[in-house]
Amino acid sequence: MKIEFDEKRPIYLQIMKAIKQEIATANLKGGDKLPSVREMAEILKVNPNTVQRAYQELEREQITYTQRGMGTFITNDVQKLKSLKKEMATELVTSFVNEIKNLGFSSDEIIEIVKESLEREVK
Amino acid sequence: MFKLMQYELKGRYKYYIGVLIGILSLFLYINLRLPSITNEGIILFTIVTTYILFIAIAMTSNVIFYSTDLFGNVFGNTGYLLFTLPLKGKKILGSKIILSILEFILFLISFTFLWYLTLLTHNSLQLFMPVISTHKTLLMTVTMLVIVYYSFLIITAYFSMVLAKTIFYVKKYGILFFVFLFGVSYFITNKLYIFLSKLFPYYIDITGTSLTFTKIVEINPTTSISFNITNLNIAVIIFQILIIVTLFFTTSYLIDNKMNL
Amino acid sequence: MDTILKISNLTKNYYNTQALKGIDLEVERGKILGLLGPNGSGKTTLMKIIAGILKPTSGEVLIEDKKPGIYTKQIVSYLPDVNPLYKWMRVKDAVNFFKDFYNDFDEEKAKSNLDFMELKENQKVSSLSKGMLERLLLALFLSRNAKLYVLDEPLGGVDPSARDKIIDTIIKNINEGSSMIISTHIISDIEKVFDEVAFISEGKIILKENAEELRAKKGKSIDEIFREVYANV
Repeated sequence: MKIEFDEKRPIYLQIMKAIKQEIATANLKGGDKLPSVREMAEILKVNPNTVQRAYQELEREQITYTQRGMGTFITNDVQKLKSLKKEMATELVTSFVNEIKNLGFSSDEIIEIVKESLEREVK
Repeated sequence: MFKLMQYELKGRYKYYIGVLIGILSLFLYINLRLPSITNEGIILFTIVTTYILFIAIAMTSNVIFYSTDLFGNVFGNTGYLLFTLPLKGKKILGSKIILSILEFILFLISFTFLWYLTLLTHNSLQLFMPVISTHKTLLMTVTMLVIVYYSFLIITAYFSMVLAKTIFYVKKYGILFFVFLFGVSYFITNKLYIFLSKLFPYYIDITGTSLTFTKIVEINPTTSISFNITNLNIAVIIFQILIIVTLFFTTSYLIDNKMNL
Repeated sequence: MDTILKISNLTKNYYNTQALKGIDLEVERGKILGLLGPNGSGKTTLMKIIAGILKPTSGEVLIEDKKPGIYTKQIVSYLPDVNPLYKWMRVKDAVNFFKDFYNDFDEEKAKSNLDFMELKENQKVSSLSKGMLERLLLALFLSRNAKLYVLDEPLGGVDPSARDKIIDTIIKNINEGSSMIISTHIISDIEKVFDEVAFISEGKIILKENAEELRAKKGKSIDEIFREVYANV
């Protein structure tokens, strides 16, 4: 896992996002073990406390769980993983919609553009 | 403290090699010249002069060497290693001073041993044995005095260096102030010795086979008291040892509480 | 959270100039503080006082509730901004020196740090390049299991390609419950290592905050904030 950090934004949020992305793209699956805080800090070249905070937040969002003495694991809750994926999609679409609306497109036009784009990709 | 002495030692092997080469060349020269000298008086004279010369050179060179060493610590970068160690100032100072005294004694022993060997090879040893045995007390006391005097020089140099750094932490001024302080400390203590010897004119006569006490009121005040070897002022000796102890603890205190690196 | 270092109203005068003008600073246990400021802002003076080799003019420095002295020297590992090693030393002499004088020196850790830094036991300290020397010093001072590490400009004089290695080593050697103060004026590469940052200028702390909160609040990197702050000073 390698993250190109944008140092303008909190690092722990970017770590959380990167892990979520790994889950969404199925690079990380339910029950997979995350590297230890220390290992992750060394891989990402960040402060272990920052990784710790990202892990804590992920656990609070129930995306991961900790087993004492074993480490941090991705949740096996299929529902949760699905909703995570959905959540990320929503996030992407929201920011896309906001930007394209700024260009002055109506909702119908946006749907049309998306359709066209998808069709082109299928071919 | 013993560990620190080991590291101090490791840093100065080059100096020892230098001293060793110096002593050996001197003896090479003596051994080349000695066979042509048959007069006992001249041999005795040679022994005494080389001893005085050797002690003077060894003292000067050690004081310079040890001052340079401490200078590197307090005005150079190695102080960041030495003075951040979890050791009291007295231990740091103590290991340096003990080592320097041991080293000086070792130099004296080596020198004496080489003279012994030289006389032995020239079959002249038996000529001097009676002289040595009649002046045993004198020789012993003089040796002790030389060592005390040497300790005094080293501790004065260290005290001056640390005080210089405490007051002037800029290198350029520090070194000048060190030389100045060393001179002043030396001058003041010598004045005090003379003053004391007049105030308490009680002497130990060390010329005989045993020590005897005498009271001498008339003494030439210009004589350097610490080298007035025939009669030893009791007050001066006590004072000199007190000065060494006081300077040692003052310097340790400065290192622990006042010196700014 | 308990604090390892507490500095209150600390001043330091050099003759007529005031190097530190009333510093108040706390470092929590387990946290890494970036002490940021340009050259001559008082970083080195502050660090030397914490290390116990410079005496405060007024104010108080407490490390685990004790004033700098023998005890604090046992738990503080201070990397100065100059080479403190003796000229005659080889790498192994330096390692032995640390082993002999510091009970918290971890020989295994030192071995792995030296390996990582590509240093050989028999190399003479005086023959090392500036970059290699900085690596050796860092390897040595970080191999102590100290409670407080005080690193003065560990990136100073090191070319950018070698910085990564130094930063990696710092991260590798962070141990739980130990705190660090790292002074630097080169921020971009190392800012992700800091929990907190303190900006020092002309002997005063002008800003101290959690690094992440500062990013969130200003929408800028610590490096950008640093440039802004010192453009106005």
